[in-house]
Amino acid sequence: MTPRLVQAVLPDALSAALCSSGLYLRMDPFVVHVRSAIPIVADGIKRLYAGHACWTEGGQFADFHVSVRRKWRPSRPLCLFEMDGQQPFTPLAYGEAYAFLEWGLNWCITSYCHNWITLHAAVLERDGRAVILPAPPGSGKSTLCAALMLDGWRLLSDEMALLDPRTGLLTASPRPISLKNASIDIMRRRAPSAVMGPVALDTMKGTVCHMQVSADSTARARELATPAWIIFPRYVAGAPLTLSARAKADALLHLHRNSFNHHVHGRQGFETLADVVERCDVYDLHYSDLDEALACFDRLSA
Amino acid sequence: MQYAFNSSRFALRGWIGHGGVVYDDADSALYEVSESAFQLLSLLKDRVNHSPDQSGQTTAQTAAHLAGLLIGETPEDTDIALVSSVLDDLRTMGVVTCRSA
Repeated sequence: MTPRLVQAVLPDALSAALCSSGLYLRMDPFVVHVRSAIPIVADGIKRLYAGHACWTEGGQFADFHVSVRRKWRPSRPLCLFEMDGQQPFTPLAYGEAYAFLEWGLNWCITSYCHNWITLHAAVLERDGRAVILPAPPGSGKSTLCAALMLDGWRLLSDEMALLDPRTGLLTASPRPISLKNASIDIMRRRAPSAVMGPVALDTMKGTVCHMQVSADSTARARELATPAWIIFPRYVAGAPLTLSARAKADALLHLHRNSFNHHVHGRQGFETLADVVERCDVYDLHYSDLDEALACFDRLSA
Repeated sequence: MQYAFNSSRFALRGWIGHGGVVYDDADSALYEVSESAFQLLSLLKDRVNHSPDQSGQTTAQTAAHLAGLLIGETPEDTDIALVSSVLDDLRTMGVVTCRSA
């Protein structure tokens, strides 16, 4: 069966597939079988995965079989995320259904894909060299990541680095960027033509809205990248931009702590992670102005 | 006293000026070690194959010998005490093993 781009499938046919046998959606390096009768899930997929290949017929191989479905409650509608019939999370508000799909997929990858060392970090690439951006929530990682992508960097992931434990190379898994709160309007102003998904209000993370990945990032999703920099970004309101070297031992500790599955990879995983840190330039970046931060990345990659 | 880095269980990585870490196979834990501890561990790891056996020496003599190798000159008592203390800590953690004559 030949895949079609999501944007080439009639909206009604896409919704019908999601409601019945499901949609097989290519999200390199995975194929995900999604089922959902919730309209904002269909809406989010149509908008954010428009340039992705999909199949509306059954019988495809899929790495994950997931669904987001309504949970009936007389007082307040909720939604459930399921993977292979399991419900790994407590239900969320109905309006969070699309975000729930994205968060659930993150969980699927970090829980089951142990052929990579998975790190909680954004990854982007330019001219074959990748920058790994590990940062805790609230550090401005996704905002910076979105701005870099809009500035021509190829997005490998907004959320997790997939590091091959044998080669130390990074596999791309470009999916919509999760913007939160003020960064949603910041990105809307910077890129009025950027495609945004459904807005989820009052989530645990505040207001959440996903932004479509650049066409270049989607088209080049199967290209591996070599880590060249590890940069720990931190948005500090009003602060001047500073880029300072960070101790490699500290960077390695941080990456190890932010790995979802280092225990699976044991010593080989540790050695690979240490090799990556050894090869990369490691910095702390404090910024308050996105344009200054972008200029800093331009200088680094020149 | 013969000290040796316990490489069957631990892995060591570090960078001069950037500190070091010790990885424990037993539970996949990673520990940061000070610059001096990293240099001492590197020495112990390296000297397994490159250094004469000090198994006939006392603990203080071994510490003095290692301190001398680390600082590149005759160590003072404080240097020896520091090395001795770090060796004790590392031995307690199991990162170094100790064998007497």
